[in-house]
Amino acid sequence: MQIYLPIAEVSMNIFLLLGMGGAVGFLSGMFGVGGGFLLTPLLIFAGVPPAVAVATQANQIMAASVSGAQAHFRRGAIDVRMGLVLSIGGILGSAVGAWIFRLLTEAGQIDLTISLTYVLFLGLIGGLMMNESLRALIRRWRGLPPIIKHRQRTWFDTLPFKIRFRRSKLYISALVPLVLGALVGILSAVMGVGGGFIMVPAMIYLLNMPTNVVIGTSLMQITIVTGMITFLHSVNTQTVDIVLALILVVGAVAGAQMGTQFGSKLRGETVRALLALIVLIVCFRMAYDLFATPFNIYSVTPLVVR
Amino acid sequence: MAHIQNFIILLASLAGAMLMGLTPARSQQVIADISEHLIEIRSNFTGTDLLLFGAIDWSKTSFRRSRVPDEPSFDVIIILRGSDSKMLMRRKDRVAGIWVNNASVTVGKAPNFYTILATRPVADILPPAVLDAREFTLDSLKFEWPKTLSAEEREEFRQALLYNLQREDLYVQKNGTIEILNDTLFRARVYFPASVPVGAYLAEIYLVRKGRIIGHQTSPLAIGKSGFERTVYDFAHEHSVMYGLAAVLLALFAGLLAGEISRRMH
Repeated sequence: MQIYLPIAEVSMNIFLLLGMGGAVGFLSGMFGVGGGFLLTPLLIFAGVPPAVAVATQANQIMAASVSGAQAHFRRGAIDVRMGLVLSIGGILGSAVGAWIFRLLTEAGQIDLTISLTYVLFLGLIGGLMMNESLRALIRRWRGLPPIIKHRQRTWFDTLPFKIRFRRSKLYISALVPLVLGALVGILSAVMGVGGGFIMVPAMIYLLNMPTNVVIGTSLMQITIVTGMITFLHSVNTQTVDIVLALILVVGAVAGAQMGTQFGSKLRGETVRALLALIVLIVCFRMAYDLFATPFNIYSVTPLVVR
Repeated sequence: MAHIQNFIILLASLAGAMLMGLTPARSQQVIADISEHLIEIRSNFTGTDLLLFGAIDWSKTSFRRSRVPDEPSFDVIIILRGSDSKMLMRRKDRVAGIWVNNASVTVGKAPNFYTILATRPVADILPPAVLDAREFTLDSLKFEWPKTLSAEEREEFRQALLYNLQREDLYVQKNGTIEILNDTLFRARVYFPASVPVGAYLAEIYLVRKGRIIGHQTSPLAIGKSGFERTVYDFAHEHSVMYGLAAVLLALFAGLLAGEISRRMH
C-alpha cells in the first residue's frame, strides 16, 4: 500500500516504513539510542531526500524516545537531575548544530560531512566499546569476578559548580554534563541522530553512571533535544514531514516497548557488546560508500522559486 | 484554496491556448485533447498515465487521404512540456580517495518535464534543421548555461542533465508511440512519474506531412497537490512555527499514548 508524503514529495510503501520504524524502535528501547544513525541512511536509501530524512528523523526519534523514557521512568531508572543538565546543554548545542547544518547544505557539502562524521564517531566509539565489553564478557566467561572500576581522580574533579546527582551516586561539576550535552546536541542536529550512541558510552565511561540508569537518562535527554531540533528544522528549512514521521513513530513505539522488555533481561556487558557491534557495522558500511565509485557522479536538483 | 489556485492556472492556460487556436482555418485540420486537464496529487499517488488523442477533420484538410491501406497520410508529433526552472547540478570528484561534491553548475533555464512522442522516428518525419529549431529531440533542447563554462564543460553537463532527467522519467523521447486509426484518429499515452513537479504544463500537437509542419494544436494541463497533502504542505511553509510546535506535540502525544497502550497490554 503506497502513501504519498507531502513534504518529502515521494510515494512510499507504508509497510516498509512501519518495518523500518519498528526495527529502529526496538534498538531504542534496548540500548537507549535513538536509532537515527540507522534510520537516516535507510530512509535516504529508500528514496527520501536527505534533508527531509534528517529533519523528519528528529521528529520520529522524539516520539520513540519518549515512549522508552516513560517505560524507564516507571521503573525508577532515570536520573532526572542529570537528564535536565544534559538537556540544557543539548538545546544550546542543537541550535548551533542546526545553523551549521544550514551552512553546509547551502555549500553542497552536507552529505559528505554527514558521512565523514558518521565514520569517525561510529568507528571510534564502536571500537572502544567493543574493546571494553569484550574484555568484561571474557572475564565473566572465565568465571573471574568483574572489575569494579573506581573512578580515578581526573581533572574533571577540579571543575567548579559541583552538584550532587543522587540517583547516579555522583558528585561532579555540572559543567561536565552541560558540555557533553552541548557537543551531542551539535552532532544530533548535523547528523540527524538522537546522539544516544555517543551519549550512552560517554555516560558509562566518562561520567561513570551506573548502567541501569544510563539508558533511561539518555532517552530523556534525547527526547528533549530532538524535540528542539524538530522545531528548529521546521522553522528554518521546512523539511519535517509529519506524515512520514507519524508512520515511523507507529512502528517505532511498538518496537521500543518490546526492546525495553528485552533489554532489561540482559547483562550490562552483553548490551554494550551488541551495541558496539551494530555501531561498527554501520560505520564500515558508510566508509565503504565514501570510497566506492558512486553509480552516478552527477546530481540534478531543480531550484524551486517560492 | 488549492482548487482555486489550480483553477487559475487552468484558466490562464486555456486562455493562452484559445488565443493560439485563433489562427487561419488551415490549422483547424487537426483537433486534439487530453483525457485530464488537472492531475491532483493525493496520498495514493504513484505516477499516472494520461491519454492524448485527436482527429483529422477531412473536410478541412489541404491534402487527400492516402489510397494505400495501413499507410497513414500524415504524421503526428506531440510535445508535453513542463515549466522552465533553474537546475542546480553537482559533480562528484575523487579527492584523497573519497568522493566529494566538487563542481557545481546552475542551469538558468530548463524545462522540468519534457516528453516527445511521435508516430515514427522524428528523424524520418522532418529535416534536422526543423527538429533542432523546434526542439523535437532531447538533444536539441536549449538550456541556459553560465557564461564561465567552457564548451567541453557545457557539453559534459548537458549530457549529464539529459541522462539524469531521463532516468527519472521526466525527460522522455519515444518514437512509434502515437497510434493512428483509420487514417483519421490518433492517440498516445504520456506517463507522469510520482516525482513529477507541480505546476503548469502544455501539450503541443503537431501535424506533419511531407517534411513540413502543416497543423498545430495545444492543450493545457495543470498538476497540483490537493486535499490533505496540500494542506499539510501549505501549513508547513506558511505557518512553520505552528507546524514545528504541532510536530513536537504530536510526537510527544503519540509516544506517550503508545507507551500507555503497550503497558496495558502486558
